[in-house]
Amino acid sequence: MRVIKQGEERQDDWTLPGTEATEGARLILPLAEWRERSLDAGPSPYGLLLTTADRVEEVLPAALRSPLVAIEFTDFNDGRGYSLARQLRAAGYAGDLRAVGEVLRDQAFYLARCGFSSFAPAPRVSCAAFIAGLEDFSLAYQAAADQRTIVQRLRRAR
Amino acid sequence: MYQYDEYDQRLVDERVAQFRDQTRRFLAGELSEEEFRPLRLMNGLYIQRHAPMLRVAVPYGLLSSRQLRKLAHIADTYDRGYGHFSTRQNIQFNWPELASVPDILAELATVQMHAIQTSGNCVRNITADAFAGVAPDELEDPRPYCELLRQWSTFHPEFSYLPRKFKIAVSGAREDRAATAYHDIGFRLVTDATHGTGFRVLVGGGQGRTPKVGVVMREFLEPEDLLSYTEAILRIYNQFGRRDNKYKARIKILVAALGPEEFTRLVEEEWARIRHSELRLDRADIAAMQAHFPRPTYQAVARDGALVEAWAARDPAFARWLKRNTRTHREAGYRAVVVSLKAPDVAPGDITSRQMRVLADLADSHSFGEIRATYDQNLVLADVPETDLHTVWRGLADHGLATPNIGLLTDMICCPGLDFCSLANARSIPIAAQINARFADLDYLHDIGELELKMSGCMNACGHHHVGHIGILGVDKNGEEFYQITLGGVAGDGARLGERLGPAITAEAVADTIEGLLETYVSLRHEGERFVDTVLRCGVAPFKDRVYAAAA
Repeated sequence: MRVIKQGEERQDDWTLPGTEATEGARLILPLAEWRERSLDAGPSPYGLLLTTADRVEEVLPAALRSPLVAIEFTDFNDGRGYSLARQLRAAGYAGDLRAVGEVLRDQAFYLARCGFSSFAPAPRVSCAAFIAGLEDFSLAYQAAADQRTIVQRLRRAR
Repeated sequence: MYQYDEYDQRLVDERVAQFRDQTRRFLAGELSEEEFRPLRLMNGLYIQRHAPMLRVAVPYGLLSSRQLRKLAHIADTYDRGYGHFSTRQNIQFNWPELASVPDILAELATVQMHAIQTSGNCVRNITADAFAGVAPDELEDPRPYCELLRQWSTFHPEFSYLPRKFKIAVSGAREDRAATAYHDIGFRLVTDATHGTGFRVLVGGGQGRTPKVGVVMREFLEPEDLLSYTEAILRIYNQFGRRDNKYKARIKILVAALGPEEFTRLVEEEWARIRHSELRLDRADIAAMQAHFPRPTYQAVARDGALVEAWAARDPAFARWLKRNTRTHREAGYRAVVVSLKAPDVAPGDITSRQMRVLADLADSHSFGEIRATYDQNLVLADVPETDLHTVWRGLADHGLATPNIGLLTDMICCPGLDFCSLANARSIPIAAQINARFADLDYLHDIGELELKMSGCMNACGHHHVGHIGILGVDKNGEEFYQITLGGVAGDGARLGERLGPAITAEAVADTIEGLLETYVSLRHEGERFVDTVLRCGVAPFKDRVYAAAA
């Protein structure tokens, strides 16, 4: 899919349900299907697709075995996905965390701060615009799940 | 007051650039109305009945004279020469052009102001006691905590798309002048013999369609834990609050649905995970913020009570103003002056650009260059030497800012109503005018004494009618405006929702009805008893009988 990662546009092999899987595609599966296909303990080859309504304690064991977790926004106003992302990061999920669905440029900065590491913006959003949105602010007041410069740290270091 | 450093300034400047680009894209058709909506709201911009309305943040109500002059300039340049102070201690402009809003925000940024998060489903302006730092009954100044919360909540990446708006108030005094029981979170500073100073945490209060008094969630929270505990509350709310119905989306509904015990359990569990993270403040962080709010350099004024008394004896108008519109001060020889924005011929809370400049000058000459906005839509000059009171009174009176009605019937809280607001069901400003016209006799008002009248033009309750001693709610019945009266609401200590008097009345009957209520009070009151205390002692029944018997 078309994705923005590390500040640049690229194409990767991950494929969401309902899209045509091409040669060499890697599948992202909804939780129930992911569980059916990932019976053995240990790492799963499948990506895990979550909804914004999912609870971290429910999905964490699966997430920790997945190379990629995607959270799908059906509505860009749905703030639950932001908290879910932060909780996954706080609980130790270190793999790729992808925002998919209604992912728009004006939410890019906040999504990145909550721990999303890749983004599949809605088709109507240009990748260049989305990448610009990641840099709307050069600082942040509060610590979150990213590596941005935090005002409090700068002040404490003075 | 708090002064921006280079980081605060950079963030506000970057916000102006961001919103300028967002507005440009909206006007160019690149952003849909639906996509632009939350972005403009988070910059205080509503689309109203006649024009956009821009709400500018006044953090915890504190303004410098320089900022007030800038607001006057904005009123003249981009609006119609006036502004309107709201119950969140913010100021609103009712007539700006959408395309000029980025320029207004750029002007505001030059005086360390902005419109960030004054609307939208995010953490709104943090409010506080308007007499913070000067009230004799204060345990500790709440404003450093307000500013810590302001910075933590500004552009919070996780809490910018909450189920609904989120309001926080902090009060540091024995008397609650910040209505903390009617906020999503209310922090009350308390002193505990074993722990020292900390916060009692109330959660789930609010007005609107389902008014609720907040419940005590924690009797004592250490100041160091202020941000981590708030973050835990917000995280639980963000995930569990209802998103299917905006009238059921506030945290008060969630707290009631889960029950306060279960809600608290969830929050405490989340808090345990994050309490010792970077969110924990240390003593040095708090002290550094407190240093931004130093006590002014009060002069050892010759305490000449006799001088003030002599003025009062000579001039009854001054005496009346002194009694109603000034408050005792922590510092000997000083008083806090309440500037009435409730002149009889003006919509409550409105102020002209000329009045703003007059006040800025008075603040510079007599009150360390600072002005505060109050919860009840007035302003305060907090640090006036007693020896300057007569001069300040003259200066205010010359510009219609000294109506001696603070705390009286005509010191009404009133929303903009149907005249401006697209949500309203009924007008409120003409009703305020009707009440002002009927109760113009100051001697009568002073005899009636303390009485909080609060009026909203719809059940969203921006005029806080639920907590008025007399509440008036505008309702629409088949296209006609009616008014529902409630009695006995209390906003501060002993927080309580008003009780319905009976069926709604017509617009023409409002002043008559209030007159009936006042007559009933006068016939029932004990010596020195306030209106609301008579209502609480006698109940609503005698008032109801009087009002509806007259109508029958």
